[in-house]
Amino acid sequence: MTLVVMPDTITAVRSYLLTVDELAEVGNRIYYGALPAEPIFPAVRISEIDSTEDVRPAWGRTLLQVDVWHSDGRFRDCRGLAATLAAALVASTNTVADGYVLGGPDNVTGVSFAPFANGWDDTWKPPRPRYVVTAGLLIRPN
Amino acid sequence: MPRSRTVRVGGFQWTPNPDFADDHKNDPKFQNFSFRLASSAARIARTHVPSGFMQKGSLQARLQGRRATTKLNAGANAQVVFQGSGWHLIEFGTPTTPPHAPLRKGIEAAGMRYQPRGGGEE
Repeated sequence: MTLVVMPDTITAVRSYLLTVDELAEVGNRIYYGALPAEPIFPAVRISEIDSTEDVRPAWGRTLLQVDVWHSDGRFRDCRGLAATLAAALVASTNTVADGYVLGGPDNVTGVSFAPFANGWDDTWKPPRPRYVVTAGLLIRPN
Repeated sequence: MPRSRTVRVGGFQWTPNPDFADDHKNDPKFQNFSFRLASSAARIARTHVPSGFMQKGSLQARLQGRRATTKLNAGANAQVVFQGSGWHLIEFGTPTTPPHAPLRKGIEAAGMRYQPRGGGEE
């Protein structure tokens, strides 16, 4: 019997986003869990909200939350970075890498989005703009 | 378009009802269905509200009493409502706490799709 072990979605998405040239301003500041105590902005955090592995054999559907924080007072830049990040996730369809395949074979089974939620994150002093992208995507082991 | 106008296409005919959406929403069967679906989402959402890990007196602890009282509005526009003003901290997390996302988890688990209206804080 051959076991099919599902890949780690956050690690897979993070490694994919690090290869996207348009996200160069973020650098390697793509975190999961808590941000560092004194992060450098802009910063991105990936969280796995929900996942199911019964979409079809060996395919998993994951609901991700991607947070984007930008420097204080640069709301438009934050929105632009969130949009770029969303576009990068859309372009992840059929990305084949070592250990995982992201996205479905077409747009129907590809990445789905909820509209962005945004606002001033007043947990920072001073408050910083923050965008929240909720995205659902498929992943399977390679 | 008048309701009485009959349309024929390819040998089939029907009478369009421009008030279909309103009639549908006012249908008690649909209202019952909508209410039960929202109830399922709310019940699942309540199970995902974090508790037991907060420090006494913390912001999360102060919000705990309010956020646990999820309520439903019956009718065609059934809603899952979080009480209190700090629910977004639980739903979307903070820089130091993860998003517990009880609302989105409940909606997804109930077979629906999370679809905020956008344009500002949700």
